[in-house]
Formats: sequence, structure tokens, C-alpha cells
Amino acid sequence: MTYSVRPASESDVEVVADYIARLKMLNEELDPHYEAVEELEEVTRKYVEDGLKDETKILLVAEHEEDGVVGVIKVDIVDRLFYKPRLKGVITDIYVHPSHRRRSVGKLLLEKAVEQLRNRGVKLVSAVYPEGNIISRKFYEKNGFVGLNCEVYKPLD
Amino acid sequence: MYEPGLSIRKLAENDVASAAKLVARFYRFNEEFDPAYSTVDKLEEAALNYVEQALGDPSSLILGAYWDGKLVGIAHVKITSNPLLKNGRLGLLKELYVLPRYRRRGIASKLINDAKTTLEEAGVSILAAEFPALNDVALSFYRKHGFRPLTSIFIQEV
Repeated sequence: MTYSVRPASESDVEVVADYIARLKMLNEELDPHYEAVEELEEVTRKYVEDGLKDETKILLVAEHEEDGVVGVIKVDIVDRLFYKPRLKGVITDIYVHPSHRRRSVGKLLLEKAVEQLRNRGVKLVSAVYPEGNIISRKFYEKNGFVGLNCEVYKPLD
Repeated sequence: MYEPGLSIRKLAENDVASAAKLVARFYRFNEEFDPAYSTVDKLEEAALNYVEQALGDPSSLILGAYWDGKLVGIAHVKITSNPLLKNGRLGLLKELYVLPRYRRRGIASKLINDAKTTLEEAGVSILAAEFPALNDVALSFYRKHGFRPLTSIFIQEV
């Protein structure tokens, strides 16, 4: 079974939006403060469409020879303004369809995204995920990421 | 029937469709933890059949958690037995699910307590729960509620 990674295109919007919605619904399970909006489908669709048009965002899909698109990664290139190196890639979304897990598809997506970042002169890559998501935690630990920021929150009545 | 706040009771026949939605969400969540939990294509439909069957099964108990009259959580306990063991009959929680926006109100705890009472009345002395090994949310929930690990299931593809 082989997988290949390529930039997402207009024709992938539906499946990519579905995977990103699945990711948000997983997050929803992990903390009530991630309660998804009612119109999640429309919102993710627009998010993907906007992402495709934006040059500061990288959107790649993993394709399986029979099953088509099975995974997605989205990386935003952000200016750190005060710190060197100035540019960093932030992995905002990464999702592989459950039936294609444990086959290093996520790793492949990450590698290809990093390759693109390097080509654009970006020297740092980071990721944001809910604290309760141990699937993400294990993935990033295994791939050499370490904690840097701490995000705290407090709901207001 | 309008009831303010939380009430737990056996799932009503006419709530099968909403219960199936909760069961489907439960499986969608579990699916994230291992490819062996990959769900079928028509999950909602399969969940509907599953809930209907469980409702008609005398060894199954489905409790619904109703918030202001709306179904927001379920617990499905299946009574299994092993004739070789002294305490061979146990109630196995196959599915326990509360909608995310109704979390942190003790609904799942209440479902578990009510399930225990029902099991006790049926002469079953053990309540067990089944969940993906990597599901930390479930793990900490059951530990917090005084459960201990009993059986491990290891798998490999053949």
C-alpha cells in the first residue's frame, strides 16, 4: 500500500473539509470548551476554501492509490515579529482517516509540509492541539517536538 | 413530558433515533484511537439497528439521561455470564456517552450509579466498562469512579 502527498486543490475541498470537521469533533470530545458550532460543515468548507487561496498557508493531502484522499495537513506561516527566526510554520490541522492510521501517513504529511517550509526559508515548525489529545501528543513527541508555550484559559460568565 | 433538570430512566421506544445518534458519536470518537475501531460507512443506520435490537434484548439495559426532557446521554449495559466463575455474571458497559455540551454536570456519574442499582436488583454484582486502551478520557473517568483494570485485550492483524 503506497501513499503520496500533493498540494490540495479545489476538487479536494469536500473531503478535506470533512476531515477537518472530524478533527474538530474529536477535540469536542476532549474538552467542553471545544464545543463545535452547529454549522460546522459550512464553516470548515469555507476554512478550506480560504486556506487554498492564501499564500501564507500550506494545505497538503495524502492520497492512497485505491481509497483516494485519506489525510490532510494545514500549516500557517506566521511572523514571530519579536523573535528569531522570524518565520514559523504552525500546524493548525492534521488528520488521517482512522482506517489508514498506523501506516505513517501522518509522518509523511509532516515531512512533506516541513519540506515545503524549508523551501520557503522557514526555520521553525510548531503545532497546536488540545491538551487532552494524547493521539496528537504522542505523534509530536515521536517526531521530536517539545513544549514551548503554555495556553491558559478561563471562561467568563 | 417536561422535567426540569436531569432525570435518568430506561430509554423510551420513541427515543431510539436520538439514542442511535449518541451511539454513533461514541463510535466516531472511539474510531480515533485505533484502526481496528474503524466504523462502517452507514454508521447512523447501523447504530439505529443496534439500539433497536438492544432495546428488545432482555440481557441489555439502556438508560437515557434527559436534560429538561431532552435525551443528552446514554448508558448501555449488557449482562454477560461465565459459568466457571463465582461472580460470573457481570454487567458490561458497552457504550456510555454524554453530549459534549452537557459534560461536567455529573450526568455520566449518575448514569453509572443508576446502572449499578439496576444491576444490583438483578443480582449482578459487578459492573464492568469497555473502552479503547488509548482513550484517556474514559480511563481517568473510570478510575475516578473506583473502577480497576480487570481484562486486557491485545490485538494484531492476521
